[in-house]
Amino acid sequence: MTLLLAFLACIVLAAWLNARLQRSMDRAAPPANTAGLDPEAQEFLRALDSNLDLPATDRAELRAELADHLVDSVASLEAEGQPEERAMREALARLGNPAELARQMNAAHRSARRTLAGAAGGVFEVMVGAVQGYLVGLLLYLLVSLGSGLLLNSAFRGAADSAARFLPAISLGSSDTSLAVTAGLFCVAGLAGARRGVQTAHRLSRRSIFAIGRWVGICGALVLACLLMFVISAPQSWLAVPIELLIPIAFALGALFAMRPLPLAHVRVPARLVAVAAIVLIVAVAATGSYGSAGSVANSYSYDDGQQGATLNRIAPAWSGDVGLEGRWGAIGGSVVDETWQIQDPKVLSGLRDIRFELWRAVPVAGAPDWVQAWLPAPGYSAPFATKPADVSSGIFTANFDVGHVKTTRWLLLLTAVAPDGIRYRVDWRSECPTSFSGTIWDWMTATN
Amino acid sequence: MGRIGSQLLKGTTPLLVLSVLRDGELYGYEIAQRIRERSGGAFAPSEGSLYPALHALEAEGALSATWREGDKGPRRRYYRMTSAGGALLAEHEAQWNSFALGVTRTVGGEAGR
Repeated sequence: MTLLLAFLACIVLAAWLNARLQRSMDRAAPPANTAGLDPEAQEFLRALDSNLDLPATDRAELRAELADHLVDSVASLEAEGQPEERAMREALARLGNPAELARQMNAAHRSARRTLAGAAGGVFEVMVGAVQGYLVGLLLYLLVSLGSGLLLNSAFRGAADSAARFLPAISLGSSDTSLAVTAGLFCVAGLAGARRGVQTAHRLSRRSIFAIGRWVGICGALVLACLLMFVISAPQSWLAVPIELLIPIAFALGALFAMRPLPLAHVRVPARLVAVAAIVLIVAVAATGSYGSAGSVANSYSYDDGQQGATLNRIAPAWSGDVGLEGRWGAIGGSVVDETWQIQDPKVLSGLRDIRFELWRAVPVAGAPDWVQAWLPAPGYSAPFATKPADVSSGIFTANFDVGHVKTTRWLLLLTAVAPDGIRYRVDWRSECPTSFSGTIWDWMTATN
Repeated sequence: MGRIGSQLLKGTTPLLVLSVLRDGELYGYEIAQRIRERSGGAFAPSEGSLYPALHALEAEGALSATWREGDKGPRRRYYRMTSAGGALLAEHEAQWNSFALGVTRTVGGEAGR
């Protein structure tokens, strides 16, 4: 509790300091008094302004100050007897080259104090912008979801019924959808945070917004990419990972959008390439994550297990008939499958050989009620992804698999054996409840399917 | 008196600016005029280096600046020395005195003693 209060106090203090600093920078500069200046002087001020790399407020102040100086200088020279045109040339000559003057002014406005203020203020504003972006994205998502639901049901259902039907779906959507939405919200947060941070750092530090935007965009994107790939452990899925990989890109784009005017001529082609690459990545990952076509129909092998006969089903991607309704509630950690079986009469297996446990990828049975945990082997896979030999001498044998580095979240555990006809059959099976893959993106990418 | 080297003037501009602002606030053109007057016309810092020096001192916190209407007419940007500026002026004065004494002794040689 103490830590929480201290954290909140720090946030409030930082916000107050930042607001105070922002107010001191947001002073309004008087307009430059250029009405009394001849075209040569106005050209000087324009050339100066074009070379200044400072916030707009500072540039306006400097133009106004030098315009006033030129007015005073010309008036003084005219009082000494010089003609107006010569006085103006003399006054401009005393100021020197506008590009050199702008260079000196750029350097003069930068100090260690302002650089530190820019860095601190920029970091703070990145966090503020990220929170704002996240909340705005969440609000938009809720509105779009509700709106699409209302639109689909506007003909025959009242607004209240539509909201009641779709609001639970919004909050209790599938895990894959939730992960993807969360990743998408972080993309919006990154974009908003980067933009706000770069603009604030530029205003406080007086350094070039292009230099700041470039460094923040590149370094920020690299740091985020490294954190997401190797450090941050979170639930992952085929849909969420590509969107998470867009978070560093969104951050870099936010830094780019902070620059005004946008260097459109330089970023149009790279931006299009990034967009195309992102679309190809998402489609490719989605395609490789999908399952293939269904397999062949099973045939059977009968044997006598002392229990009024039994039928062993051949191992096949798609089974008909007996799919079983037995399951175990609750995840078992997602990394280890630990199963123990006891055979009533081990002698029934004497005619069978090469008895082993197998883990097969599974999909839920279509149309089964929600309270039923019914699974089928996933179509498109003709082999298990893990096997372990079973020692049946004692009649009690266990299966222990480490599936922590596997993307699949649903599996069937089978006990199989090779019959005298040389074909492997299913002896028995267990289904496990789905678990989620939790790890870094690198863990996900290097895990087996 | 001969023309003072620009590099020598450039290095002493902050000291000159802080010195003339010791007595009160002034705007940019007034600062240049005051330096010229106090030096007896011997030198005046380039106006192209005066304003960068003013803004640099403001960025360091040695000066504060406000826009206001002047006693004689239109609004100008007036500079005032802060307490930090006072400390900086004392430091620059000490450095200059030490430097000037050293140069005088070196240049004077046997005759200068």
